[in-house]
Amino acid sequence: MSPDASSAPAVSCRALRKVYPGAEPVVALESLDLEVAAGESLALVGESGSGKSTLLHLVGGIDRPTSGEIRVAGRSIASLAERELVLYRRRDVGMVFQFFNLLPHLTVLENVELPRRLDGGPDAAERAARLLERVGLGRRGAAHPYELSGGEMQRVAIARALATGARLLLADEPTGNLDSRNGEEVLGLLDEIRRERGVTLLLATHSAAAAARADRTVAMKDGRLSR
Amino acid sequence: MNGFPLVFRALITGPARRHPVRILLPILGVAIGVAAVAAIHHANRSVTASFENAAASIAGRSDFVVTGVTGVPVAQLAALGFLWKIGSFAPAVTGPAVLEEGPREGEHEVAQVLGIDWGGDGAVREVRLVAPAGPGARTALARPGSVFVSAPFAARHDLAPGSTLAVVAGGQRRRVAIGGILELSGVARASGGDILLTDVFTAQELLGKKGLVDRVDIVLDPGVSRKDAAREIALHLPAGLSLEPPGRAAETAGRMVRAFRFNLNALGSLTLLVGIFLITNAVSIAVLRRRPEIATLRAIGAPRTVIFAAFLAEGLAIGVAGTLGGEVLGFFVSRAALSAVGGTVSSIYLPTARIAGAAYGGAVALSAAVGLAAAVAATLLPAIEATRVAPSPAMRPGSIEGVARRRLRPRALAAVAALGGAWALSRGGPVDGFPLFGFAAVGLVVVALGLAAPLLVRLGAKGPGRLLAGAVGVEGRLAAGFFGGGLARNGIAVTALAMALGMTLAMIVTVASIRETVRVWVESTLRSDLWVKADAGGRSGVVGDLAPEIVPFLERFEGVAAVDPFRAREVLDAAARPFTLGSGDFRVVARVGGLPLLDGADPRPVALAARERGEVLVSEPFARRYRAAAGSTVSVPTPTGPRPFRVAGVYRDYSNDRGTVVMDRALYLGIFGDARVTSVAVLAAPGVDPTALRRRILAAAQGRFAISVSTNRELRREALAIFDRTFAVTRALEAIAIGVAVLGIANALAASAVERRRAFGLLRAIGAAGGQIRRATLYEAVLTGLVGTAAAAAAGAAFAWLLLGVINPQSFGWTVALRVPWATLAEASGLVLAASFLAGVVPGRIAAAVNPAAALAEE
Repeated sequence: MSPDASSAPAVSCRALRKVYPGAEPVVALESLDLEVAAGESLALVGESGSGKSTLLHLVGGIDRPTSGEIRVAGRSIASLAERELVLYRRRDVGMVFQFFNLLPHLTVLENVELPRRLDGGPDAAERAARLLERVGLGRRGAAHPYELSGGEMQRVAIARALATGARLLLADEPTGNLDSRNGEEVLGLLDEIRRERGVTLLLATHSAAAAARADRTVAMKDGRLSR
Repeated sequence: MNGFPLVFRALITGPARRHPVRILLPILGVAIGVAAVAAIHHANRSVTASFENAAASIAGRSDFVVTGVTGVPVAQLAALGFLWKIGSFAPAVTGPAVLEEGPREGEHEVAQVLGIDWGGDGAVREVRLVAPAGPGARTALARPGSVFVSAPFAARHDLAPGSTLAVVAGGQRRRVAIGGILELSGVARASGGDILLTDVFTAQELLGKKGLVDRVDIVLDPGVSRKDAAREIALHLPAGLSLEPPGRAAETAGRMVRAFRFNLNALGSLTLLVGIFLITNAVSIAVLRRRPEIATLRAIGAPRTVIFAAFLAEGLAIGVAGTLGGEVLGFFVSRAALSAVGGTVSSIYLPTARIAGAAYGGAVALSAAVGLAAAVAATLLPAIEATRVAPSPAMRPGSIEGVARRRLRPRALAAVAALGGAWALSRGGPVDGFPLFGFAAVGLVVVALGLAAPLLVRLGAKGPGRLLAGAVGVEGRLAAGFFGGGLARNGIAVTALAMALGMTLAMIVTVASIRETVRVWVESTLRSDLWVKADAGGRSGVVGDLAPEIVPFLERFEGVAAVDPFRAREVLDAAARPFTLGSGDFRVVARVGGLPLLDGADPRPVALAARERGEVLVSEPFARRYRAAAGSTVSVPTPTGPRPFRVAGVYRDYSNDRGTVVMDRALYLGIFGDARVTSVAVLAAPGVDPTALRRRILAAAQGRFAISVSTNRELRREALAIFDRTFAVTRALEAIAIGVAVLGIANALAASAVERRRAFGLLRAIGAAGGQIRRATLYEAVLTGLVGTAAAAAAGAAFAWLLLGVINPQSFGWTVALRVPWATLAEASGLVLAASFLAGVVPGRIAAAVNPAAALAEE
């Protein structure tokens, strides 16, 4: 499914700024403007410390900007109250992390069920089973994360990110901890799912190979978009 | 709450199943605390219930009791004739009797003598005869010198109607005939069944109370209004007599031991407090360890409420498990506690008190409620902390302690504020005689300790840590790094240890100070060569009194230079609070001193002047309670009504905490007409050997008086033995608290060892030997112990200052001179340090056994 440039952007950032306080404040993002079309896959590339992860965290609602605006599907999320932000994270966006961030004491199936269970969905187990099947781990539902390889864990994380039907997928260095073969598999999976479900994908990476798969690539340096 | 079961498993039960020891330790801590609370509550409740039962057994069906300062003169009973219009009344005489024989060698029981008017007592008290049976049974009581005993008492002493029993009563040896056996019901239940029931005249004869009864019980006719009756009785009551409710005796007895019981409760709560810290420790560590998972949960949309509920549920589960274990443990511990508390009450406060175990249900309910509430309270802060985990920063490895570091300054300021609050609270006076502000100040010191702990850890890593590195090399450096790198985690362990050890050190100083103060006081007060009291069968303290004839007997005895007869009675002030009214020969005090005054003045001229002017001396506890001082006036109840006396001076007295008013014996005899004597101090003539004098006195007293004579040295030893027995319970509680706190260190270190797998793996990968890592962990344990001990020393100093300067004076009314037993303090601290070192052994092994490849694969 191709990005729909004619409809409202899936993600829109205006004059976005993020400063981490401290003895010497760190400006992670500075006056950043960005738009991502619905269904587009956008790669954010840059060195460590360029602000890629920070941008994803702000768009994902797990951190708040110091100033500026973020709109997702037309809704401003920077000003959402805590309770609404929790629902946003649960229903509207799915995140995939570099370190997988699976819960080690839950089974693979339970990890994928969790967001839907938090939402009170009665079909959490069935949806999770279908998603695991889709990512090729239908038979590993009873295993625990520590029994899986890195690539398998990342596929579980992708399944979890889709559990509540989110339309926006944010992947922060999803192949950073994987070998090239597993990395390729994960990137391929993300691509397939994006096209199947028409989700918008923002991918932070310093891998050229990962960036090459995206519809568009944006470079970042020192908290700004660089040309 | 959507998703709670999965979240609970992810954060709580999953980790607990893998590392159950981390949960077992706080459960054990709560169990010990709950057991201590249950046991002490049960003991205290048993004391109260026993007093109430004893009073109820004696009072029977009475609606009111008439009493007098020195009893009710028989001559005044006729004036109570008006009572027949509204009910009936019956006099009674009571007092202790020491049994000369007992079932066990060397143990002399104390029984209560109760003399009643058989003709008119039936309306008041219930008496059921078991033997002899038949219509002539009650006439057995009319026989002079015969007594009735309860069935269990008779069985224990192998008694039957017609046999005799040797007793010491009223300072004389007697042999009483057993007139019959009573069923253990009604009045026979008084003193746990150890009662010698007889007629009024026999009791008067036995106890030396001719012409007096101790009480007159009144039973109103059905339909008579209590209020109206009380009003009418008050109108007709002769001066010097008072009307009391029947439960007053129990109330008075309860008040006598109130301070003792309150402090025991406070000490019991200490062990629970340490248990609470262990829960906070465990849950806080769980929150720290689970921060990445908490952050992930928050990132995928888990609300704060679910996170909070998960950790709160963990605390509650620990509380439930600990409480259940504690109830079982407490059931067994309560027996020991009851024996200790009951023994202290009997030997120090009330010789005839029989402390029987009350129903245990109340103790179970209270300790369960306290245990669960404490568990929930202990979990609140860490659970709230868990909800504050932000998804973004916490998901980065290594970010855990950054939060703790940023909060150091506000915590330090808050700690200073808490200390200031403690100081302000310490200025507060007692509330209804209880040092509530003092205990609140102790609480604030604990809060300050908790707030300052992370800062102490940081300072410890820099200061002693550097020294350690210099002394032992790289392992010391690693240890300092590990220690300082765990501000939050090690801060909690340090707090728990500092609190438990600090309170123990404070108690060591307090007990040593009080003991030394008592020792010096005993040395300066006990000037007599010999001390004569009624034979109490080897029991410590005074049981019963002596006939007035003992005074001239001793005064005229060859080799005796002077005697000081002392009389002590328990009386009630206008608010029905008990204090001791005493009398002594102020001429003897004027000659030899022995009454250390608070202002340091020479007591001899003060005593002489008081004798001449009809003034009194009051003890320090009395002065504190009633705000009396030299020159002020105090009111003393007399047979003709309350009478004011000017205070000549305030003296130090550690023999009781109720307070004492002492007047010259001549003045006392003139006002109260009570010539009996509680004890006599004897001064030997110059050159006379006190031991030989004692032998001669005892020989001469044979057949005339039943006395025991102690030398000055024996008396001092006995006084200190009573003191040591009183504080035995506190030592047990201190040991428990320390043990629980050291468990907390082990818990924290074990958690740390597992948490730092990656660091240990890295160290192994770059060439550190397993032994070096093990030693580094041991040194970290030592650092934890060192910093905890240093913090305990500071906290202990604060606690000791509050105990000695605020809580003890407000509880007992005593001024105590500070004595610091450095050797004992060093020993206790050394033990804890050694235990801290040992607490690092298992974590050291865990750390040394980390597989570098596996650990680094997690990077």
